[in-house]
Amino acid sequence: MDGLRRPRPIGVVLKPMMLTGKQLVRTLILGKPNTVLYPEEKLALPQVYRGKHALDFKKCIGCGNCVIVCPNDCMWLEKVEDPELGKIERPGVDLGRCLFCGFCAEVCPTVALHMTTEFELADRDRENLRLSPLDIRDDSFGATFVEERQKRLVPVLDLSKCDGCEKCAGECPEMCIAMMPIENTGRTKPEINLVKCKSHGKCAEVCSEKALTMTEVYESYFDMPEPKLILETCSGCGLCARKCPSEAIYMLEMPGTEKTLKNGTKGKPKKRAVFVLEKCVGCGRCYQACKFDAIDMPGVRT
Amino acid sequence: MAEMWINMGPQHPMTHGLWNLKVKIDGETIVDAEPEVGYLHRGIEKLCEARTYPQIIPIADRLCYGSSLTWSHLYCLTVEDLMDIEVPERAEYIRVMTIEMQRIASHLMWLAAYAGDLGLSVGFTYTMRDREVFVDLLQALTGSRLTYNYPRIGGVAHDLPPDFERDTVRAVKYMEMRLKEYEDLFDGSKVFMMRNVGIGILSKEDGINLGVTGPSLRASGVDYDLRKDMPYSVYPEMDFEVVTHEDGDCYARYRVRMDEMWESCRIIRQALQKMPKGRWRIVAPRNAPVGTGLGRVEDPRGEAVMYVVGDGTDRPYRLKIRSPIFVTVSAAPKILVGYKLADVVAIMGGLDMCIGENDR
Repeated sequence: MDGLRRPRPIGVVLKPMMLTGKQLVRTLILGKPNTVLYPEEKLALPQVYRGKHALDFKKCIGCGNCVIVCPNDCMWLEKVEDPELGKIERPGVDLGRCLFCGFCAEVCPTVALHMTTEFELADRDRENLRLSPLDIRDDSFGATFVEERQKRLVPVLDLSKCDGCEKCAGECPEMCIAMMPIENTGRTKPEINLVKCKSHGKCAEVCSEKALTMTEVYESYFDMPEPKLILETCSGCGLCARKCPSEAIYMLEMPGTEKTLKNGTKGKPKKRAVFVLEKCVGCGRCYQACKFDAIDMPGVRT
Repeated sequence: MAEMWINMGPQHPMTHGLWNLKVKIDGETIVDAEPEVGYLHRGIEKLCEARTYPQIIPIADRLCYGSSLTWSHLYCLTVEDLMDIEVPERAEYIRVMTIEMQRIASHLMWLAAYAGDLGLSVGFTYTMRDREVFVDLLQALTGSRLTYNYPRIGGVAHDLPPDFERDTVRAVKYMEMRLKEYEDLFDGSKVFMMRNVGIGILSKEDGINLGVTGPSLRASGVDYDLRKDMPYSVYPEMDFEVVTHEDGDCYARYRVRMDEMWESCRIIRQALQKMPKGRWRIVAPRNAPVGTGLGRVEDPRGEAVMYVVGDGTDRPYRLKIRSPIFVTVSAAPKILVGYKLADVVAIMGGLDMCIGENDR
């Protein structure tokens, strides 16, 4: 390694001649070019290539996690009217600011957002780079895409149907369901430990009210914040439940809080919000919607 | 003859980026030099304070266009040190393999730029063509050509695509064939040897005193490589040698980088063989604890250090980046003095400047 390296004569004279001859045969006699004739013919890009976005309107729930995770704030939620889906909110993207990191596709809880292999995105006008949700809509792209994130079957609770019978907790072979009382409502709900869950599905089989259903959920690599209710200030208005994209918030009545009206009859009892955290995607929209500071969610941008 | 100052830069073919080298010449001989940086300051350290931990990975990629994967890997190492996360073993092997690919790609880009500086167009086209092999491999793995955004806090973003191992073995074989060709091409060129041998000598003592690291220091005969001296990731399990050279001139720096590419090929092969099956990513916590984290890696250009201070929230309180080239360029006056003005291009090109990480 020390001292000068002596070049071999074969490398100086014969090899370059051989190379030139090889290229000559390849280009002139076989007629194969050494390059790709770009505009006519395109390079085959790998599936993971990060180009323009494609959004599946039917899978998207409009949670806005992509907007939260974007490092450059280039995404936003826009109200769209769809003949099939009604009034919905879907994300748009400003390609002029996008740095194509792919976090939005990675964080999507329902795998509705993908990055396609389309890379010819230059435009003469900067306004044309602001793509509305309809511009990036591509409902069929997800079918061609092999998602790397693993799916798993987990029981998902519909609290409005649950009557607190505790059958599911007794049936689970992994002992991952515990019946927890909901404060002030006199009801109990099953809390499912998703880390321990092995997708046996027995809890859903025994559920007489069909409140537990086995649903396919994509695993997430992002640790999202969880909402916490401050019961003293909750007024039971239900704003959070209406805003929740994954329908994880249920409004339950609290018996014993009825006010006696003037004519002696009792009015309706007060309600409170109950979170089903297995469904929560951590978007923080309930936190933003609450006008009474009754939801605590550390780490969410306001 | 009167002495005079000459500004080489900020717009000069020698600079490879935006910086200014002021040289004081007496006739043709350099008597003093002064590098000026700061034309590309983007405030990345401050920018990081306003972002959450995962959001900084794409920014860390943009520190150096030549070896972006090393920087995002370093950032992830630092935050894992802060958060005390254990990374799955498969992810560690994938990381080592990819950063060695990045090292080859970075050295090839340096060689291309260097050959272009010295007027060897053949060297430029050949090396850029072969860098494409590794860039294509990394594109198939990560999804992007230059700013990969591939390492994550707690692992890597994707698993290896199908046929990746076959393609990698082929690429390494191809690269080893090409490296022999380069050695014939460059070492056989009279012009290249005349402009390199005995030019820009950095002595062992000066190199250590000025804090020069990486191939430039190893070319001066100092056996200092963080991959061996302070091993991180799975480097202790790899069998490779630290390349050193005694001369300390431009030719030695070229030689060290060429031999490092051979060693990188060896490491890639071993990483592929030893790679276990299993998970490649774990869920990282959102908030970091109160405390500090430190990461040190051997960048293609030298020793890169990141230091992060967490304050219990999801954003870092402070992120400090130590750039190897910022230190190396401050040694430029020591190397340049005494040589001719025409040698500046060869000497500064041989240091492998990268302004993105230099100015941050």
